[in-house]
Amino acid sequence: MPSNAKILRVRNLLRRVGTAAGTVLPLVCFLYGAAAPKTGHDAKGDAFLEEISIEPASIVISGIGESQTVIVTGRFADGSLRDVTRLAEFSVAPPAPVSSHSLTLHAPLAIEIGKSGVITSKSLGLAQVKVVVSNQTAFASVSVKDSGRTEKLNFAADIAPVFSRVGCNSSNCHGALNGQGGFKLSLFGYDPDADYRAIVKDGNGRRVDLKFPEESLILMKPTFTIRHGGGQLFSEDSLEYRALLNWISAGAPQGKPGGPRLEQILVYPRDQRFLTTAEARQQLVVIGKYTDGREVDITRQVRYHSSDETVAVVSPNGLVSPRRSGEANIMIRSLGAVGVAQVAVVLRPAVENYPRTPRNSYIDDLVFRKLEKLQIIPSDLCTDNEFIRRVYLDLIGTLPTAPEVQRFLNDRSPAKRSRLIDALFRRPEYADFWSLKWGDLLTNSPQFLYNGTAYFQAWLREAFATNRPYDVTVRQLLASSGGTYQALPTNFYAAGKKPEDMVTFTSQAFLGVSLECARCHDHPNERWKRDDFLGMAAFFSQVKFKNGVRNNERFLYIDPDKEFQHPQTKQIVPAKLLGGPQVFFWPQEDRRARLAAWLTSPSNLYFARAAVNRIWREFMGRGIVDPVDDLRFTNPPSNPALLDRLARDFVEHGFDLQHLMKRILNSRTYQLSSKTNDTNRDDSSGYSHYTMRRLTAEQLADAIAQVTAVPEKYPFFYPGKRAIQLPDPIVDSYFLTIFDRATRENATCTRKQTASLAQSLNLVSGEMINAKLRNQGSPLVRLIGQARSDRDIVRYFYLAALGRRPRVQEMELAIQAIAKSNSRREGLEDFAWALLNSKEFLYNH
Amino acid sequence: MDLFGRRDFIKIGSLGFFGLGLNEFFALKALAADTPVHGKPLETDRSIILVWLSGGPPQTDTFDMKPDAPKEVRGLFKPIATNVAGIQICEHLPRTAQVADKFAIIRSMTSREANHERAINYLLTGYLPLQTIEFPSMGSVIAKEKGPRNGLPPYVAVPNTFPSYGPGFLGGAYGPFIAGDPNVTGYRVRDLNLPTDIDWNRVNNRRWLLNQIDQYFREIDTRNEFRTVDTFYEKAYDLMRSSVAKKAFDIESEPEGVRSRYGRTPVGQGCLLARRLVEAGVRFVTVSKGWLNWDTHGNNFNTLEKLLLPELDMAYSALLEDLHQRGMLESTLVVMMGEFGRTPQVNAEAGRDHWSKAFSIVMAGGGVTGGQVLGATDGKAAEVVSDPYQVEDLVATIYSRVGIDFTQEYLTPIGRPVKLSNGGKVIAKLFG
Repeated sequence: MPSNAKILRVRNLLRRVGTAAGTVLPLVCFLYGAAAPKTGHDAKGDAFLEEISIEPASIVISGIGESQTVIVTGRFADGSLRDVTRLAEFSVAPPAPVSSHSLTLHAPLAIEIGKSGVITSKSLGLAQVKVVVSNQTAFASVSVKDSGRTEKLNFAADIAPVFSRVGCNSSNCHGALNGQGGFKLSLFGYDPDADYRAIVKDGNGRRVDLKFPEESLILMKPTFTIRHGGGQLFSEDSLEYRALLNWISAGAPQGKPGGPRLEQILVYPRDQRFLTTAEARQQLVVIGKYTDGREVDITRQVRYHSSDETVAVVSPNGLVSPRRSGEANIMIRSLGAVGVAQVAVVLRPAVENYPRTPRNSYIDDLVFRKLEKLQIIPSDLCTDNEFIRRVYLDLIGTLPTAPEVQRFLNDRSPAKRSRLIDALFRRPEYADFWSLKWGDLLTNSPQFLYNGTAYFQAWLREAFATNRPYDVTVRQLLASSGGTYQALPTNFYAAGKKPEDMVTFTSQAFLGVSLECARCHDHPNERWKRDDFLGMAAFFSQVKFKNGVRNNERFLYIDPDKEFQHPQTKQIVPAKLLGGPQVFFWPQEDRRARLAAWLTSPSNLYFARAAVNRIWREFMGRGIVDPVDDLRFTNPPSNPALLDRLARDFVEHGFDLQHLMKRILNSRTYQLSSKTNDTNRDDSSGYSHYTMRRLTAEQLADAIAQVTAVPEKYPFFYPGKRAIQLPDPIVDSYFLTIFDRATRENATCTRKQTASLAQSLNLVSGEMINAKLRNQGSPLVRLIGQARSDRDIVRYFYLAALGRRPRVQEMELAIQAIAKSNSRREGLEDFAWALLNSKEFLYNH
Repeated sequence: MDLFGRRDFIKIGSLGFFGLGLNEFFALKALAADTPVHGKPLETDRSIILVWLSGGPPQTDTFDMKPDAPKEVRGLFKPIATNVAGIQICEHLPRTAQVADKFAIIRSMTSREANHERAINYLLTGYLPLQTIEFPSMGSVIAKEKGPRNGLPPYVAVPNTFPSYGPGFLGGAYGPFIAGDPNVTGYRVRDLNLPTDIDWNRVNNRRWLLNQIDQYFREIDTRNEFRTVDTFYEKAYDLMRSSVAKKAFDIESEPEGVRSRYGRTPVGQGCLLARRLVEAGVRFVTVSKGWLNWDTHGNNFNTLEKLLLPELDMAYSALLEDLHQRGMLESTLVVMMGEFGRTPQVNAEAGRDHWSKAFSIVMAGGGVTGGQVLGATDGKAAEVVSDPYQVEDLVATIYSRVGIDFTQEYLTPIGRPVKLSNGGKVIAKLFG
């Protein structure tokens, strides 16, 4: 029998890895062979350990005396994966026999292993690591190879990572464009050769003191022995200090310039891991692959960053701790290479009898499956009232009218929501609203387009009205030539002046990829290099503008011989597709057609993903990748399977936008209530409830005009022109401005939507609401004129503004308030004002 | 004061149809209440006017002239004497030169950032921007710490708000109030007056009704957004009721001579409006011409000589004289600065590019000892050679002048502590 002390020790350990206290006993039972329950859960619903695994499962150590950390993961009966490294007992085993005559059988073992799972290489050869946790066992193979290194120290491989890790080369310190305090490092260390020069040669060599290494500036500044604007970054007993001191003492060698370089970062664990108690931890292991083939454990040499520190924090050595329930990505960076690990924190107790929510399509399957893992219960289905108002606002930017609401509520058909969605696509406001959104994205503004804005808007409108396939639309935008009043998609090019601008604009709008960083240097958070950027720019070098025939018209033509020159070297840069091969052209060929074909190809995953992600955000309030124009390896989707499935659906249906929108709008996920429950109140990325949001400037202006039946007059447009129909942000409207209409100054264009004093003042004393209520054409005046009762008028306003009938108490309140006013008219006006200022009106929910 | 004007409504309220009784309503109201100040303002109740030179003014062509430097550094302008012996400034700031006894020049400011948006964020918030935290501007911090005075918004932006002016993680309630351009004829702040057919009784009826209608819907808000919206409504009511506000914004009541002394430019009238607002109780006013007007990469000397310097000279000198004559200079700190300086070397376009290593700022009032120069740069105004001051020091100094403990920490929504000044020290020599 195990001693009590040992049980206690195991219990404490288990608590720390994240098995709740209730699990301890069953696990101990497993461990010591006592009787255990048959099911996967104990009485309290906590899960049992079912299997363990080691990562990396196949370990290569380059050189002798080098170390490698491993992590042990337990798969529990509830399907969750948790770090059990600290429970593991490690031992070294002979290598798995290749055949029965294996000669290595009696060779000395090539490795040693410490308690915490750190393997150290002793000699060249093979071995296995054996791990035991409770009654589960796992093995990992280890191969110790010759490092192939002839030099003891190499700056790029051994020293440069120090500057990345402590942040010297970040963009707000010495990695800034002009460096800092006269000392400039390459951003995040992408250019170790330049950094070597900066540290050892520049500044008259005063940064490195070979005679008195301890007095080198490169040591005295970061230890704050002397004044340093960046403060103290490490102490004299740190690994960083010792590495630098050793290197300087050895004469600060550069080693072989040009290599070996860090090529890739591998991060373990590879799949999302769960932290289920406050004491649970997850150790990350990071392996760097170098250009010379070496693989090195760099777990303690990289820089970690948590995408959401309220959910999970990460220590400088890669230990992840939970903070609150939610999901976070841990970004890992060293020398221009990046990696990411995903963790989920579930600190709330398991839900008893987790409900099964009805599912309408794969969207619901994928969303609800994930929510169940996180033990979040989705909200209820929204009511018909909520649905009609929401889907009108989201799909056609317009409130339903009182009769439309009545008709929908009276419809008894079970398919009425789906039928309403279909019908809305036939409304002219659908094309208005989506050409407005796409106008924001494509910066349709006179600032760029001169007088072409109305033409461009009309063209976008037609694309939506006719449901032109999205890939066709984008090919036309990318590859058209002619006058901006005739060949309307050419207006797209007016927004970017230079080939470089067109690269960032195109990649952001259609690939959801931000390449702005790579314009000047290798992208710090992504695999894009500066060469990728310049290669893309070469597709746009032939684009030229001259004056068109008509006033202020521009004319786009192709100068076939115009090449793109490298901004510094002035050499001709060959056109190269992003992440793809160099492209060879026929003489005189318009290169943009090739770019457009590649960009919109079904095999270009970025294209479809970026599009579905944007559309999803418009309906769900948050992108599956968020922000939507930042699709990159280190900003992974919150639900990768969902993003991929939507993208595949979109491609398989010929880039049919209406099909995609219908798919989303018909999902139960979209139709969930915005009322939350105890489990999903804090959920912001799982789509467990609808996310309420204030109406946009245009939606709100149109809604007020519609409910009061008094159109807004915009300068130079006939009365009745609606805000969602305006071509550009220059159309003067104080109301639209203070309610945060898009300025269309850049393609990122995420609207801020903040509350402000100017808004409140305007709603209280401004003309927008007051003048409309006073107007002789308002329904107030009309209904009074038709001798309708106060109750009828109150009912009208509730239906028209909130898309629902008033509750009994609400009706009584309104009637009493009106009755006690100075006059009936005043009372009704005051009631209508209050309704138009209510949160339920101002918000889409 | 009878909040609702009409007892009938109170009666309806007491029936309690909608959960929120009058007590709660009063509590909400109290939450948004002012903190009035009586009697003589304390020293720490100073106001601040920030004359913001967006784009980055060239130190070599304004307050740190280098007449002995080579031509491609010293540029086209000559220094002139001021009313303080030994201090020289640009010849195109003649009126400013005559009030040099009232201001101190810091020639040894240094920053770590030479990109506009990032540097503006740095100067206005004391922090370089971070993707994960939106830092509050100084105006917003002061609005939060000191609250409104005399029912006026504590933080006003003239003519408009620009990036980094905002409240960051403090939330929308502490953002700047937008005054508009006081230089336009018939200037008045929009929506400050009730429509003629609506009196306060009706407004109060409306407020009460709105509050009742909202009750059913409140539970849906899990992010406290509605609370922010409500606070702004309360502020709007307070402001509309305020005769102080109406008077303060009424720039047309100012004598013609005063208006033209400041200059009939957005900056001139902006400075005049700032004086009126500060006089009435506003705590922090930014005055700017617009966005990046001082970003003279090309045609630097023409732009400065013909446009930027003359209007600034009129406005700034008038502001200091006016504050002095009204005895308000001691209680008003006037800070004039941009986000960085400009390159000592004139470029091929006769412009100067961004330069953050050394630049000048000018401080007056609020206890600043005028007629002095702090710090110095080398022969090209390229590097600071004595008394270097960091942006953090400047921010600490400004907070300390209004009695705010700049070492205190705010917690961001994610619970990260953020000091008001990131390790800065008060620039003591300014007050010596």
